[in-house]
Amino acid sequence: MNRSISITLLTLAIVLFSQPVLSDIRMHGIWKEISQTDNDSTLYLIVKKDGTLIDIYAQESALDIFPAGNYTIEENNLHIDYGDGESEVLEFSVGENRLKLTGKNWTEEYMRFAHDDSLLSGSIILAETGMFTMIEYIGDEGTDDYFAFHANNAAKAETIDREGTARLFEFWEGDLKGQIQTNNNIIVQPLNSQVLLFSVGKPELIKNLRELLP
Amino acid sequence: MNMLTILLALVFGVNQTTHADDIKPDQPPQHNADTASMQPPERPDNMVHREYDKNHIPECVDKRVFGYWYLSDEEDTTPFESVEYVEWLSPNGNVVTIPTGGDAKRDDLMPMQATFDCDTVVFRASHIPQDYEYSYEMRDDNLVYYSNDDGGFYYRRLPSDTSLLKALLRLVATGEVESFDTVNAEGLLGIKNATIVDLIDSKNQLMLIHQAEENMVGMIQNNGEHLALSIDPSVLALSFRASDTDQIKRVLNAAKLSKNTLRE
Repeated sequence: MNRSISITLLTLAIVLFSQPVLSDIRMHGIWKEISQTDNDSTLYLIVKKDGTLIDIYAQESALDIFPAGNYTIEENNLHIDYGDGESEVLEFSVGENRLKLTGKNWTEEYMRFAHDDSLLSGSIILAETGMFTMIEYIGDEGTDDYFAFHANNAAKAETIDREGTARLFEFWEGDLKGQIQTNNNIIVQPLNSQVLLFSVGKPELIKNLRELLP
Repeated sequence: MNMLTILLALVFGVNQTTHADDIKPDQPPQHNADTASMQPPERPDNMVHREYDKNHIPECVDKRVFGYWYLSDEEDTTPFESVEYVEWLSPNGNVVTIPTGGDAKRDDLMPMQATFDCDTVVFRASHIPQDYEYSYEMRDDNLVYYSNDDGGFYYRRLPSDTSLLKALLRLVATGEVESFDTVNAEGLLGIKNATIVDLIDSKNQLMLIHQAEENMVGMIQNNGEHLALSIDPSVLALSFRASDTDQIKRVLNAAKLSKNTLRE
């Protein structure tokens, strides 16, 4: 075998083995549970590229966010390591916009969640940073403050370590543009054209967000 | 209490050269009693918005005299925490004074005008019948001494960590501030202290937030209207209830430091 062929084969091998297979790529993203098992909440499953899973239970007044373990994919099996020695293997099939997970006695179907300009969408972006356990909607609190800010709705969250806060303001029919930054941080940032993030105290939040912004 | 610190100083200061602490702004001098009982005077638009020709400031005027000041003493024995009023002497001759307590109403915010000559300055205000002429002398970069035949008083430059007060002074200098007040913005923004500024003749408000981190820059617009703007490296202004968005824009642009004008 001459040298150029061996280099070509080596390159091919590297490319083949370093690329995730199609099913891996298709798994990545945000999945919304189709058959709502709980009337009060909708489950969103985030399959992150970094090999972690996040469960979000979206209720009318808040999003509850849970780290749901690390995953690996082997053929059509999803291995989930929940930590503390607990693990589970689920069978899956995935298409462009549908995901089916099958466990021992259950099957669950999901549809792909597409980001839009809603407060929910902005909240899911915030949840995906992994820095929050809960995002509360404060639109019903009756305070005039965010109305005074011309916002139509708002949400608040505190980072897990309680060192940072985030506020989301939704402006219907908004066309938000711009950014306010300091030396080390961005403190005001539109997440989409209608949702504005105001964050204090955690530069890492914006670092994490950078990858997530559409 | 609607007198300006400097006027108090002008009247009181004559005998208070080294005892500025004793000056109580809530004890207006005798000859100001008429002013205190007057109806709130009309906003002296001509003073606030007068276009000054900086070229007319004589070359011999020491430009260090312009800036942000508080009434002090020669030895700097007045802790800044006990200072009740601060003022801005802007390069166009406007003098605005605000209380440091976090709230003020329009009557507390009457502006004055300073006209400088080489060694002297005349202070006048539409609501004060008399003009006051003083000699002034820069004792160092941060200390100025005003005096006349009746005595003198010292003004010391504001410390560097007073950007919220400075931003408020610049806002008040626009002549469009009705009042301001300190509020708890914990619910809205997760920040304890914020300052709400009511603008005149409208329901417009600004919320000022002090961020200790410096070099804040940038702005947020919504459908082309100002929503948030850094008006100082550590002060963020949010616009509230913007019924007259031109006013919001005008006031914010007048109050911001020019280097914070990114991404307009």
